[in-house]
Amino acid sequence: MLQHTGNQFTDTTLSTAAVLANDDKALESLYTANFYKTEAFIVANSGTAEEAKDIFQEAFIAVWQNVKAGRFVPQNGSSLEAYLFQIAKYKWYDHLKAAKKINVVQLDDGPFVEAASNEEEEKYMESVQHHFKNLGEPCKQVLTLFYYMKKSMANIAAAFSWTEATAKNNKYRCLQRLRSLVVEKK
Amino acid sequence: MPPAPPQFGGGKKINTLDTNYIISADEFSSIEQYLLDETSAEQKLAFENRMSRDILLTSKVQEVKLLLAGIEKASLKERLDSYHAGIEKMPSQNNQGKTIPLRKKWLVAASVALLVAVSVWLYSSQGNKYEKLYATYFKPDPGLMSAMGIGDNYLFNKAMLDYKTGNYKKAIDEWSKLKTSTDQNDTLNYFLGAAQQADGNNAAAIVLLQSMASDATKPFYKDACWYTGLALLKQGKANEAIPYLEKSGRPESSELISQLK
Repeated sequence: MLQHTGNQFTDTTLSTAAVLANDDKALESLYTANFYKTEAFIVANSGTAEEAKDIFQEAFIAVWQNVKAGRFVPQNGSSLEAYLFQIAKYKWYDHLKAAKKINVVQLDDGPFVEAASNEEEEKYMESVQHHFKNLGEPCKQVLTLFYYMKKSMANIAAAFSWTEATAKNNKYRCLQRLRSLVVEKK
Repeated sequence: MPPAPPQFGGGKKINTLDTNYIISADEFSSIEQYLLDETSAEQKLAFENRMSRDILLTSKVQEVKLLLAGIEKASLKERLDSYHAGIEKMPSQNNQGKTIPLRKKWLVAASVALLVAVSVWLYSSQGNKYEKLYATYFKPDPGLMSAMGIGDNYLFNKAMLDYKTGNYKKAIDEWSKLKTSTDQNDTLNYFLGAAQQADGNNAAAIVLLQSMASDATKPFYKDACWYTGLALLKQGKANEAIPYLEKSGRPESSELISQLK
């Protein structure tokens, strides 16, 4: 179980476990407890609230990916919260640099750099995310419940009032539909 | 030694993602089991041996891995938007930080701490007892069978699916949107209350459930009595909870009431 004190995790190891499991409550706490700090930083450095939201969400996804891939493991004195803020800061500096709003001589990304994947893979992933949005609710629900929320097929079948075999078949059809949208557009 | 499975963001990568093939349901299932680590050690080894001999299978595994990672990321993005919608409804912490002077902040913090300490001192013993009883007896309403239909029913059922899979916040968001157009819908009000309670928002749950628990002609009358009683108990109002629990007709209600008297 996660132990919370208000909105703060008391144990970074547990919060790492929560990230790995896509624990909705824990992720929401991580989000809500840390957004305002990033927003304050970005607004104080030539940004808007809308830009803060985008940068924070990008940073959040990067943290999530890095924790899942084992690229970030909280050590003594470090935490997910600090890591999230660091990534958001670096992303904002990068944004300013790209928009030529500041002269950044050298920013050391250090341990915060995201692992590069090749361009083909990047494009494929982006396409999956793009087409997922327009996949239709039942398919989105089934895929999210299984792959993101880690619900069992029995659980999904019960929620839709399907048999387990139907649920499995529908999941495959949804995947095929998503894949065909992605592959066609390549 | 079989090659290591392709790793997204690391390990050996194929340069060109060739997707000009069909992945059958069975093949997809075995790839998925491998990627989700649902195979035995022997099956895993055998699968990796097949991959080392079959470049097409390696490509398919790599593609499915990206497909599943993309779905997970897209799902997370949707959750983040939902979290953000939630914090936008809260008062801005930034504004508070900018407008309250430091000394005043300390005073506010000290007052809050004192209030909390007094409240804890006053209510902790009884509160703990009621909390424990609530935790023992409260189980969210199992919800309704849902089928994807059209119109408002479609939207209602979509949110029912969220409710039944424990995604109470999303169900609350969706049902709240419907409430504006169909305010007197008892089913909607009942399940909105049920979702609020399951999400830990007892005060909001009581507002929705209590009116239904006061009218025996309402369709969810007995259930509304049970859950209103429990919500009041959670708030430490045992005396107010008892009449509702009595009217609920639940087999476990008398046992619970005997522990409150």
